[in-house]
Amino acid sequence: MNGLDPALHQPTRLTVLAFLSGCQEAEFSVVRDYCQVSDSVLSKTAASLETSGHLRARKGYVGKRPRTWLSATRQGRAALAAHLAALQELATAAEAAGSETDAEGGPGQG
Amino acid sequence: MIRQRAGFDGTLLGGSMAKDKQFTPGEVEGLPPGDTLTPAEALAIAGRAEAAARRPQPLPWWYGPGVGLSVAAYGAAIGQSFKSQALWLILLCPLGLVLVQAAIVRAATRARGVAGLVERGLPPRVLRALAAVVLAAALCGLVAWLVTGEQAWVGAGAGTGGGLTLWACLALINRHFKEQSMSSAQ
Repeated sequence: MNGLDPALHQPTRLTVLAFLSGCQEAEFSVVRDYCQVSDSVLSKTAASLETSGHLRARKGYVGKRPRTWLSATRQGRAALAAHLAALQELATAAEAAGSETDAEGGPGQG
Repeated sequence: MIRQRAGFDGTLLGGSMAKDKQFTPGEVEGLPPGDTLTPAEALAIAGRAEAAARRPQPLPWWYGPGVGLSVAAYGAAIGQSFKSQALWLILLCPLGLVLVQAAIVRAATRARGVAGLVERGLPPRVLRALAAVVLAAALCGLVAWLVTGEQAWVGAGAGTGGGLTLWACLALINRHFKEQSMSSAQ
């Protein structure tokens, strides 16, 4: 399917990138809390998305505390948009196929 | 073709999920249990995640006072600069205000944990707040001029009036954000 990104098939990756596409950047803990995953799961997810060029991680400090900020790259935003468009197409096609099946077999059944 | 696509519907994410053992499926808000997601479910999850990131969050309590006081200090400094005819200070004051405001905005963003996207154009609420700040600053400056006739007091008056109005506007906007975040959390 054109536009579908295999990297975004995994729900956590999809959620992380979708969350980051709605903002400029977000702190690691905020993304973790929204996704309701552990630090290690988000860390692996972020590393995987960073490797594929969808996400950028920036390390900094607030006082003496280290903080990691995550942001979606331009490539990541484009990939997500294409992925969602392809999903939308699939969902529409599936819905159309379902309604066609109902129309063909609907009155006879029952 | 449609049948092929429709068949893809139910197993869209199952294949890759089953092989991808290094990740546990996140129990994201609304995520159905199990390893598979239909396109509609994936779209819904992505839509919710994006909306959650875009949701306005309340500003830190010190944001309004910080911004308001910096504007008041700027007004006082500009007034003094004009009074003493210190051109270098007149040029330096706006730079100082911009730096202080940028630091406050940066700290507030860090405190909230999410830096929002920069939208094109200003929302009507912000435009109304800016108009109120300019009007209050002009009125206070005029009153100070009529009462004292000194440039230093005009600057201080305009800065104080504008700063206090800005603080009040930010408090109102923050209350609106709080109400929005409470209603979306329910």
